[in-house]
This record gives sequence, structure tokens and C-alpha cells, in this order.
Amino acid sequence: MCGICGVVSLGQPPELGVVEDMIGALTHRGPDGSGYLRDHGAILGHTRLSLIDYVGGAQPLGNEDGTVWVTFNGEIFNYIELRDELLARGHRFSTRSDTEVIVHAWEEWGQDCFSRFNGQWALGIWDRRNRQLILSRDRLGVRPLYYHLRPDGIVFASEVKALFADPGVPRALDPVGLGQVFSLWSTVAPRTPFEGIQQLEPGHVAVFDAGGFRSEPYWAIGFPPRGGEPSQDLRENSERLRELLVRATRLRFERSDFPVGAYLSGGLDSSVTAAAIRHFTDADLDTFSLRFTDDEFDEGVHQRRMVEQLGTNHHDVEVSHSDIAEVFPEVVWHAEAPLLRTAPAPLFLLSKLVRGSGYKVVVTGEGADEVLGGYDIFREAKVREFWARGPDSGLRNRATELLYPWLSRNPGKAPAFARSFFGADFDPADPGMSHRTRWNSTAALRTLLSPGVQEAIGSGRQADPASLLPADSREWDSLGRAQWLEMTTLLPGYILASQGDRMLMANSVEGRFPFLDRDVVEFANALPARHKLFGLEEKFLLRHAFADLVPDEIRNRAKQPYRAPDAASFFADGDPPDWLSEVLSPSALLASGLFDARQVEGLVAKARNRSRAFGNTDNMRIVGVVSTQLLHHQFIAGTGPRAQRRRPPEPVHAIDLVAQAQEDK
Amino acid sequence: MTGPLVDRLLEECVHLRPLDDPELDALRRALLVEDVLGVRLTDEQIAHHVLTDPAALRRLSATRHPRV
Repeated sequence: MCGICGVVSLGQPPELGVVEDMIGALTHRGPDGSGYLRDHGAILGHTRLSLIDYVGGAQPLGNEDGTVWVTFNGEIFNYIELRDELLARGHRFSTRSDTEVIVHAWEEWGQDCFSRFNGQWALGIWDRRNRQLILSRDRLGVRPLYYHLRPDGIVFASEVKALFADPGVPRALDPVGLGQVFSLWSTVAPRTPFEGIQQLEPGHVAVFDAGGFRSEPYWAIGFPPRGGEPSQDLRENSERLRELLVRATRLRFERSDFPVGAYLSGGLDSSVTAAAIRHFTDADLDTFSLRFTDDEFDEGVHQRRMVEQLGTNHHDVEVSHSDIAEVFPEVVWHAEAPLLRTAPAPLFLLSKLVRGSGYKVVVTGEGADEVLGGYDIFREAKVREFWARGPDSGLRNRATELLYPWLSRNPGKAPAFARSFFGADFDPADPGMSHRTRWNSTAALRTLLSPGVQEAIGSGRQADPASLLPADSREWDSLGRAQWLEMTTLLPGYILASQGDRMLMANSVEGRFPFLDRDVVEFANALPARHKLFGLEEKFLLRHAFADLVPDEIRNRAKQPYRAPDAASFFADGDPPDWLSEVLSPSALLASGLFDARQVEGLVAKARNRSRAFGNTDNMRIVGVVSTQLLHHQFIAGTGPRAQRRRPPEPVHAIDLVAQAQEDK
Repeated sequence: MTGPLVDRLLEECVHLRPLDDPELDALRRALLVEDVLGVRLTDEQIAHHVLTDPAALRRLSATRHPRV
């Protein structure tokens, strides 16, 4: 895992000093060394977290004749198989790293190489033969890749803070990007929260050369038509899922020169991956868990159950309200986006524990809910569909009790809840039906934004994500459409970014995600919907496939969404921290111009009195305001303590083709 | 609707988690049957004895509704 950056210019030669500053800004992603390649019109930069081929894997790395160079962040897990294939085709390798496979694969297959990769990556290739920069990102957006286009060039990097190291990159928040966060929870690629800065869409490859910038997909999420799934057989599908998941987990656990640990949340997904490691490899396993001092959020009982079952060397970190408040500014600095929840903060503390325990890679259960049908939003959509098929039924209203058992204990409240649940925002013909309620209720937060920002959001063109569903999605099961929406919005925009890559890389830790393996995803997408969501039972096939390895009390637990204390983290334990008073001060609100100061003042007063009793909306409102103000303070005003320049980490692997050419003259 | 799919569904239903309330149990089976088999059930058909009977489920094919 690493940080990448670069500049390509069709006009003035790019400045090495700028790229060195960009590399320095990415030090946390790769503290083990750095490097750059300078050519006429192009500089690639790299910071390295070395995991495979410590000696030979320094980057940027070139092919045999130095015509193709790459700066690469991530892993190509099937690199050994690809290397054998490329060797058979006559390519010569000088290292045993997965990075070198990329340059030879590019030579051999061109853009088709990316569909052959099974991994998680963001990369830039400088092809000197055509004077082309090629950017590519993995299928689902595990690794980040941002860029800024100029009339005569492009600058790209793993993180926005590295782009801002280039003084030519404008610093401003994008109201339309903010509007997306304050409705969809995150921006949707290529948009970002920053004006003039885009991100490469997951599953895409882009080319920049004298002909300009163009981007196209090399892969797309898809599902078969209902009834057209390759196998309807539960046993066959279960065995195949297990085989693929075990293989995916082993690939991620074994293909590293350094020991790999595993997260253990107490839920099904991480229990499956940890169990797969313990049962299908010979290695000892270190596991890492989050605990909360607030019992409402703690899952320690379930974590201990799995630790006993698997016999792992276990580590945990206990997180309090004040711990979250203390690290939150740093969390936003790494997330580079407004947050509506504090949930990334404990994950930041967890990766710190991992790194402090001597590990720099962990396997986690991320992606299982999206790929195998685990989210409540999928279940809620099925209940709404069921109700809509017979809205006059005397029975169907009660289906809400299948979702929320507390309704059965409060029969007086059930009818009103059902009216609300089936009423607002619900149109069974809407292809975005599964997500509409979430999006609309989150969009209510926009009323906090200043009139100017709201006006800019209104005048900016923002496509409804549901309008981007592929034409053939009409033939999919409705679960497929809901999964597509989740896998193209929240997964890359928040789960893999703000809660994933950013919180891991903040402490120089790489996350590996077996559930997002190419073959697992392709297989899961082709399953009959009922093998994912069986009626209302989430991740049905996964529970079935690992019934012998995961104890029943874990397998049969109702889905517990990962949450952390929100407003209570800032206000429940006495006075809020100084930094919070600073970013919410009238002068800071005036400086950013992002929020209606009077409403924020009222919200803060309410939080001071009763943050523990805050509901979902108020929690999102306060965290949204605080994080956006921090974002402005740290990135736009540029006055935060983390905005200082850093030198590239040593040793520096320097390849200067410009200097070599001058010497040759 | 096909007979083999009905049989598969009923076999798979043995893996449903236990549920104490018989009306809720019938509702969740109804949701599953409608979703998988593409039928629309009347309130009278949302009953455990109907939703666990292969012959009754096959007969429901006459009431198939278009997918939304």
C-alpha cells in the first residue's frame, strides 16, 4: 500500500519541487521510502509501504527498455499467475513484485490488462512511446485516485491534500459536492467535495495525452435478469461461495512478505474471514477489535466468543466519547470529506492499534453487506414492495414488525409507524425506491446550509443516482438495483473511503477485503436474489456456507450496523473541546459562509443540554456541521496544524531521465 | 412458476430462523413466496398451512402478477 502522485504537462515542464511536496504530503501512506521518475513533460511520484519484494519493489518502476513506467498503490493479488503468463509470452522480469507485472501487462494487453487484474489498486502509467498518462482504479473503488485538469496538463494523487501541495490547484469547496454529501452521505465519482478536483470512477481507465483527457469503464457492476441466474441450487451455490471466499481470503493473507492480521468486529463478516484464515492456513493469527466504553455500542461479548472459538492472539482498543472528540480533527484531515457520523474515528484508533502492534496489513469483512445482501435498506425495500402488492390488506402492515421487533412490543405505535413507513417518498415504480427514503431524509440536513450554498446546489446539475442505473436493470431483481445503488454510491464514497482506506492509511496500515475479490463479486452478483436476502434474512448464503466454522450465536445475530457515539462524543462528558468551539464560532461560520449561523447556534445549544438524547437527524446535523467546518478550516483556509510541508520519506529512489539525457549530450 | 422452484423454496425454508408469532411467520413466508415465485397472495392465502403446502403453492401460479 502506498501513495501515488504525478504531473503531466503539455506546456511548461513540471517542477520536481512541487512533486516532492506532493510526495511529502502522502508520507502517512508510505513511510518506508519514496521515489520519483522525471521525464520530459512528466513526473511520477511515489511513497512506499513495502509489503511484497522489499528489496526489488521500489517505485516508480519501469519495463525492460524503460519505455513504460508505473506508480502504483495497492495489490494485484493474482500477480504470480499473471507473471507466469507474461514470462511465457517472452517478457523479462527483474523483480518479483506485483508492480512489475503491471508494466508488462500494459505492454502486452494495453487497456485490456485491467480486466485481468484481481486486486485493489490506483495507478498511473507513463507510456513514453505515446507520451500518454494512463490512470486506472480498481473495480469497486477500494483505492482512491484524484486529479485536477488544467488547459495544458493534469496533476493526480492518492489524496486531495497532495494535490493542494501544488500551488496551481485551486482550493474551494464545491457546493454541489456538499449537496451530494448532505443527501447521499458522500459524493459520487467523479465529483468530490472540492471544486475543480475529480476522482477517477471505480472500474475505469483514463488516458491523458495531447488529445486531452478521456475516461471509460473496463468493468461494470451487473446482475442477470430475474430467473436467468446460472444456478438455483442452494448447496451448489453455498459450496462455491465458500470455495471462492476461502481462496480470496488466503490470497490476501498469504501474499505478503510481512505478517497479516485480521479485524474482528463480533459480527458475521469478519468472523467468516478470520475463521477462513484459522482453518485454511497454518499460520497463527492476531485479531484486532474495537470496544466502546459506552455499552450501547460495544460488541465485546461477541468478539470474545469468536476469539475463544478461533484461538487467536487478540488485541483491542477501548474507545470513549472523549477519545472520539480528541481525534476527530485528524480524522477529517484524513477523510478529506464532510462526515455525517463519527464512525470513522474509532476505526482510526483501531488502525493505530494495529500499527502499534507491529502489523501493517489487515484482512477485514468490508463489502459483505453490499455484495451478499446484508443491509437493512435492502430488507426495508422488500417490505415496501410486499405492502405495495396489497395496500388494502389487513395483514401486510404488520410486516414492519419483521423489520423492527420493538413494534410488536408497542402495538399502539405500530399503525402510525406503518403509515409513515409506507407513505412518504414511496413509489413502487421508482428504480431508486430502495434508497429514496434515506436520500430524502438526509437531504433535510441541507436546510442548515447557508442560502448561498443552497442556491448553488439548486442551480448545479446533479443527476439522481437512480437515473444512472443501466438500461437492462429493469430486468434485474429489485435487490440487484438496490445493490447497484449501494455499490456505486455509499460503498466507494464512504465505506471504502472515509471508513476504509483513509482511516487505515492514516496509520500506514493496508486493508484487504476478501468480500470484494473479483471472483467473489462476479459470483455473488449472479446468484438468485433469495440466496442473498432470503425473505428478510440477510446474507443467507454466507450464513449457510460457513455454518460449521462460525458459532450459531454469531451466525444468527440480527445485523448490528457499525455505529459510534455521535453528538455525545463532543458534548456528553463536560465542556466540548477547544477546537470545536473554534470551528463553530461565529467568526469561523462567517469565514466559511457554509452554514446558517443562527441554526447552528441553536443546534449547539441543544447538543450542550441533551446530546445523549439526540435522534438520528440531529446527530447527523451536528457531525455534518462540525466536519464540514473542519474541512474548510484545514483545507480551504489552510490554517490547520497539519497543513505544513513535509519532505519525501527516505530512502528516495530517484530516476531522472531529463538529467540522463543532458548527460548523454 | 415451476414445480422445481416451489420444491427448492420449501426445502430452503427449513433454514428460516424460528419465529414465535404465527401471523408474523406467515407474513415473512408470504413475502418470500411472492418475491421468489412472482405471485400475489390474498389475506386468506397468507397462512402457514398454505405457504408450506407444495400443492397449494403450485396452484397459486394462476394468480401471478407482473413484477414491479
